[in-house]
Amino acid sequence: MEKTEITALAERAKSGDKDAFLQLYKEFHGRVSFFIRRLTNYPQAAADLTSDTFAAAMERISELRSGESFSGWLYSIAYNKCMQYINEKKRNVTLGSEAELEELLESAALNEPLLLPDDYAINAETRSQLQSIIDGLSPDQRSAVIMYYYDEMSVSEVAEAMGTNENNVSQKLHRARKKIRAQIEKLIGKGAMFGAVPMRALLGELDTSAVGIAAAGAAAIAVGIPYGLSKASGGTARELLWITRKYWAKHKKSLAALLFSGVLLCAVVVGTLLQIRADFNRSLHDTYDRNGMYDVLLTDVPDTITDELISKNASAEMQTVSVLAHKGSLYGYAVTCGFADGDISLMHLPFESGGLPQKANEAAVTRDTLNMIGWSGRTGDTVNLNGESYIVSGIIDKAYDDRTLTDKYFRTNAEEGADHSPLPSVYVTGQDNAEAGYKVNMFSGVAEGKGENISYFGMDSGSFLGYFGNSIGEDAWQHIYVNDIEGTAEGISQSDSFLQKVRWFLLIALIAAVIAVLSVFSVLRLIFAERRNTYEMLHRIGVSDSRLHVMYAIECLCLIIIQVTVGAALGIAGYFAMHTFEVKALEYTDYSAFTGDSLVTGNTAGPFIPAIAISAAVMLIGYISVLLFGRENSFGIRHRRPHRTVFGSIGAILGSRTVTVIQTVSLSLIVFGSMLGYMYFTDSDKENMNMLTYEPPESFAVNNQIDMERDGIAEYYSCQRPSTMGVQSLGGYGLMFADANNTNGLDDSTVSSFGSVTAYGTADNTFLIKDSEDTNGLGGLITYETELANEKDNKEFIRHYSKEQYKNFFDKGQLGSKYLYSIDTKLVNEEYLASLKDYVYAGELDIEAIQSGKEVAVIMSLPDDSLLPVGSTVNIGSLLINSESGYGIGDVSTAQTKIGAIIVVRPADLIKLGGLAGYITQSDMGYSLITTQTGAAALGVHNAIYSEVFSDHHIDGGLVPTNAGLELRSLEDIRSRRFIEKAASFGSFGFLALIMAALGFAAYFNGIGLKVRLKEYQLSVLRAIGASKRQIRRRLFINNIKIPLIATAAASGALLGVQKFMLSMYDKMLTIEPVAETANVFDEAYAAASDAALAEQRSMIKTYFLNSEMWRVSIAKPIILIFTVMTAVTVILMLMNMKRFDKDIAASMNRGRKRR
Amino acid sequence: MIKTENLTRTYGKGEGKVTALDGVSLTINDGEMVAIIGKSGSGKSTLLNLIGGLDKPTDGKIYYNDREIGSMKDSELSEFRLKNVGFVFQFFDLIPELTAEENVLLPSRLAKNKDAGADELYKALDIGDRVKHYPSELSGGQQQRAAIARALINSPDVILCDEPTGNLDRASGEEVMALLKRLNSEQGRTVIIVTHDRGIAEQCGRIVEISDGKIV
Repeated sequence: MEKTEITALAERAKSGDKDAFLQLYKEFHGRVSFFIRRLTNYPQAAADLTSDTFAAAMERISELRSGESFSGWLYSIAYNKCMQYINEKKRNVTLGSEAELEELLESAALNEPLLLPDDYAINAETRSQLQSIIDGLSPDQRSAVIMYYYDEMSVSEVAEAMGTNENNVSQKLHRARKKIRAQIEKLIGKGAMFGAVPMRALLGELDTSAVGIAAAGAAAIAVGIPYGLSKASGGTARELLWITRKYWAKHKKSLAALLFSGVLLCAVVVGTLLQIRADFNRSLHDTYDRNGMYDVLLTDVPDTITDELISKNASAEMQTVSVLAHKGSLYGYAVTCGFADGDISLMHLPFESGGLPQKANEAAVTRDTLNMIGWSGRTGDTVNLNGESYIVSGIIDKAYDDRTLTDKYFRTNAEEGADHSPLPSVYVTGQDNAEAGYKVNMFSGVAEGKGENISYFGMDSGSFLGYFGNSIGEDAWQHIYVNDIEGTAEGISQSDSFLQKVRWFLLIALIAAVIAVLSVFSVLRLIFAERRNTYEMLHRIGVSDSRLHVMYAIECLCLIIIQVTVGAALGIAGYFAMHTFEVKALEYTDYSAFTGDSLVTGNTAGPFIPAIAISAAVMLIGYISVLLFGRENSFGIRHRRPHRTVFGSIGAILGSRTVTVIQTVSLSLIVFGSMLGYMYFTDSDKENMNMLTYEPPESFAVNNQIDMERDGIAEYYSCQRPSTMGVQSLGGYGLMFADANNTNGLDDSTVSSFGSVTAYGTADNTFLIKDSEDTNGLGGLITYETELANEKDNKEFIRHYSKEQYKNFFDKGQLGSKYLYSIDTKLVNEEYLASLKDYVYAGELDIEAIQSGKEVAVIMSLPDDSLLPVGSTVNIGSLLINSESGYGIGDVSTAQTKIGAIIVVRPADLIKLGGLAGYITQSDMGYSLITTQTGAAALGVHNAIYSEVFSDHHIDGGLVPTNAGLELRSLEDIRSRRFIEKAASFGSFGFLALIMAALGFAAYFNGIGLKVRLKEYQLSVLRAIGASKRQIRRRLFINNIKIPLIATAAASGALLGVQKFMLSMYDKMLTIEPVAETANVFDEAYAAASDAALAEQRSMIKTYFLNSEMWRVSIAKPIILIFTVMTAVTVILMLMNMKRFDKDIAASMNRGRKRR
Repeated sequence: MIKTENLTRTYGKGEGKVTALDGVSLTINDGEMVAIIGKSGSGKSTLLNLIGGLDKPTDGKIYYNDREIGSMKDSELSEFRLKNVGFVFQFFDLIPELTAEENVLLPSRLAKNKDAGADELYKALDIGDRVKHYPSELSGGQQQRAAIARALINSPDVILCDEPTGNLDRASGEEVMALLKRLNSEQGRTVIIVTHDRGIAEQCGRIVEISDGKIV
């Protein structure tokens, strides 16, 4: 029947037409009856109520305002009848107020999402169609729709605005929705896929703004998931989901609070497990870098035997490197060259930069080899191999050179042939080097046993060696290398440090999980209390318990999905941040947690499943426990002794056992966890403080460490020492060439602008020139005259690469034929040099003469005035490399000067002078020249610059020339870097402890507000009957303060107990002794017993974390601090929450009643 | 004597502002029994709350004899409520964590009075055997009688009732009304009842009708 017909009929009925009413009855009977059945959930009473409704309608038809509002009016009668009935039937059950119910029903119907095609938001065409649909509504419908959905007015406001009643507005809205949907169906076809989109989002389209579209799209997705779940769950009413979603949209804070713990927990677990995996991967691959991944390596094994091995172990991985023995020559040095097809993954070549050669003119060279020939280029530069230019495709890390298998590879003597080296130090491509000297076969995954009885190919190592020794024969060369990869992985996973890390993780994760459950539970409890009215109403209108449970399950599932997605993403992000920090800032090797290496994945826990499981379990446990125990009435009323005082009575009112228990437990845990962290880091920090000594820069060439604290160095600048290239000579001291390209370092004029500092530099490319052999005992003779035969190659080599005018350097009568003595020239700035005056042993320190180059001083640790006597004239020389060839002589300078003073710093004086004197006085020879940079430059010493500047104050960075290549090291920086490094190595645990603290505090602080909110009703009743705010505050204060008090007390007790226990275990561990019948240490039984005792000690150390001194850290101060802060925050939060009782007691009573 | 002058209470601000009470001036003499009636939302409860000091007026004044309570500080107002006014609410509003007896005695303890007179009250209200029970274990009528006992324990001059029978069956409602009438007639206490039920209102000496925040 058309609306107009109904209106007409209603008007007629109003004026007393019984036939018209009968028609209306026929039209509406079914609908009203259905409505009543839905509303009351009592089918047997529905028939009666329906006829009651119509009887009442007929009786009061004259009260009908207009025909148009008939159906709304009729429904309102039916609604009232139902409410009457329900009230009578269930008098003892508190219903939500009528207004509330009405509002809910109304909004549930009107705001129910409108079903629209999935792609409506992105498709411009459909969007404009939709707009025209909305434009096509009747004017009053359109204005109602716009006002209600777009302007967010309430129905009554819209009614007022349109000068009509609320029923009318609701009807208009309903009809408009219906029309929109019908039009869309007409456009798209009935079978189209529909996704739910909220009405408001659709109307946002009237703006056609991008933001609106994005919001609508996001809303469509947000609604789509639960909608899909609803379908999957067998058609749980959409309204339920809609109401739930509406609730969450309205309570974003609660949602955030609820998700907070779970998200963080998931993030922490993911991040930490990834970190552990990365640690494992790094340890494993660092081991491979040192050893390679192979199990067995044979050289020169006949193919028949190799085939035999492989056929027996078909699964073994094998790779072959062909070595072109002794065929390579780098700048004249014989090197072992080789090639392999493929990546040689079993060899696990660790590259410093670049990679294996890909083209015929490329070569990869090890760092040691490059150092040996004095080549200081980079990947991409050229080296000279066998007289041909090769581009360096990669530089292989020193770790490879340190492998036991690769030592002695360098400069093997081809003629002697004995000292074979299995692995090459230069890799070239295989194509043009087909003829191999020998082959190295590498097998992986063939070792079948571990430990003492390793078996290869089904044999123990002894018989394996014997067998192959025999079958290959005496002459054949073989090398067996065992690198137990499985054992390596197992070793790492069982190593103390790794295990302790994992244990810490588990312990802290457990505490965090408990706190997270508690916090989820406490938030959920409030949320459930808030929603109870709504769900009771839903129950009343016919939503069964099982449906509600399905609803909760879906909701929980959605929350879990959000939680784990966001949590995992956060965890991954956190891990990447940590990893980037480690690789970039701490220069760790770049082995990541994301690896397919089965040894890594097989030995470490997968990060996602446990994270998802724990995080999901937290939410699930939260839901289940709230459903089981969360309802206030489940706790019941406790029967107890009656209170005699007002104080006791108020106490009983405020006591909320659940919240208090949650708060106390989580706070105790958080204090406990934070204190563990404190103890742990206090211990570590002490360790750091003891280690504030640092490796000196390269140029010191001594093993002393700088102790910046002791030496009062606040910061120092240092740069790469000006490089020198050496040619080894038999004397052990080489002819050193200064690097022609050196631009680093500082000169005196720059250093003087820094204020009071110590500048240091060294030039080892200086030598003393003597016409005859020195008889005073100068060391470092580098003359070539006497050792001509042996140094022939070197000499020729240098001559070849030298500049034209220096090719005759070694010729008779030239400089190179004289007696040259290698000596270091130490450079210190004027100020520091002057401070050495007290140590002048002979002569006089004439700074001016030194600055001008007229004099130099000698510095030595044991006095010897005959070596370079004061007043004697010395000729010094310096060599610069030929920058064109990168080798040979580019420049020679010589100068004459006088020994002005001898400075002697005895080892005992070093302590007085501080660490710097140690670097300055020490040299390989036991003596050096010492001058200033200006002085050395005047003498023509090449690269006479300062490479280090030490200062007890901060140097203004602007004064340091950018091209000096200086790097600042400050004590503070190094301290914090050390600390960060330490923190990073246990970073995940620090992170975890931090998050745990956040979780705990959130739960606790949330609890304070929660408590006051939960007791709003009781508190407002108390206020109504005349309790003053002061009285309530006092009691609340005591109630609240006892929580941090109990928590800190419990945590301190537990901590002290744990400390005491651990220390007693420590004592016990110390007393473990071998138990054997004999005390003879050479007896086997005794040895076995002592092994057993050691093993027991080790296992105790592991179990009780005894390898840490943290169990001795005093906890008093921090725990008092924690308590003070907690108390302060508690009081502040309590006062803030009390504000809600400021004015309108009646209103807060009403709120409280509603919540109840 | 209770006197209100131009009492106004509004909620909210700007366009959403709602005027619940609009300039009400009313005088209630000592010993009067007054019913305030009106539809829901008419402002009758607001008026009662303001008279009882549960809420503060936006504008206007409330005098008890010569004391103006609208401008009192919180502690003074609490003291005032405790000693001069007894409240009876539609939903009884007994504190669920306390037994009926503890609920009844709470105001006297807050006022630091001895628990004197409680036994007589229990007897008069016929709840003597139920006082050790918790509110959830009492019937509606018993709860309301306990609530009345709580309102009376400090012997206030004024008893303010907000729909006192609204949640009771007819028999209990009649009992409560009889009790209130007795308190008024026998003890001379001022009783103000807010109700929407004409039947209840007609049992009072005077009816004040409120509509849209104004006395009609």
